[in-house]
Amino acid sequence: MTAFPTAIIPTFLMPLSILLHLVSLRHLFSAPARSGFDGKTPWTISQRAITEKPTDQRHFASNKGE
Amino acid sequence: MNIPLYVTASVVAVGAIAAIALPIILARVSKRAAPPVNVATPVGLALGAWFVLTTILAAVGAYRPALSVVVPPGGLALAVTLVGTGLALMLFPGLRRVLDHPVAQQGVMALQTWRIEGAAFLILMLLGQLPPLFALPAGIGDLFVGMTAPFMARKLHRPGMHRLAIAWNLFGLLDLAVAVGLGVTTNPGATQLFCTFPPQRR
Repeated sequence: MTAFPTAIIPTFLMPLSILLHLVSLRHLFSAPARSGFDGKTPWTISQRAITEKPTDQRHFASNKGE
Repeated sequence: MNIPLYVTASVVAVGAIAAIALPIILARVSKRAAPPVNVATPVGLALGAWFVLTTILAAVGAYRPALSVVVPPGGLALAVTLVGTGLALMLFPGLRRVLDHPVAQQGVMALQTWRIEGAAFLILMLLGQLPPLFALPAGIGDLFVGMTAPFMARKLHRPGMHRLAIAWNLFGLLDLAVAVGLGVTTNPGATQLFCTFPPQRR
């Protein structure tokens, strides 16, 4: 694991993977509190309202036929 | 260590793809965030620079530890990268906001597909170049995470997937911790605890 090319795994890919797992966990643990997630409703619906532009919200509303 | 060309090519290719894919995901999501924020360019430059630097350092043998060195250079590089990325997340709220977007979350999970590279550990074990004590848990765990990553990404926002996604991420972290722990304790040097056959090569 210290020779080329396997040394690339612990020095580049592993830290990147750890970071991505931590980012995912942070999002997953904070999502229920932020969006009223009940474990059953797809929480992208409330997430979009928080994070996207008004135009995206209008587009989303039109998709629902409102 | 006589590593086959296809293993070398796959490791370098996977690293390059990872360095390119994350900025692409960030660029797509940045446009949809309110207000729009450009984090893809600095993240892409930083990742690209680190990938090129670490590939050069690995090629010139800079990660091979001296027997007297307490902290292996590879471990030091891992720690520096983790601290650096952690600081970037703390200091740039725009980056946190973009990564927190549901679409980015699917991309972040899908990126873990690179873990199928764990097959390289198993191939090198079969070629007698890595000890089973390290290669089996690290390789099988990585393969499992890599093969299930596309499924997890696609189903992430489906009802009932929340707990499974948390468990999957925790398993992925545990697998990496085991791989790092076994890598450190089977490599020749001051941190070696297990004498393995075949030995980990310096």
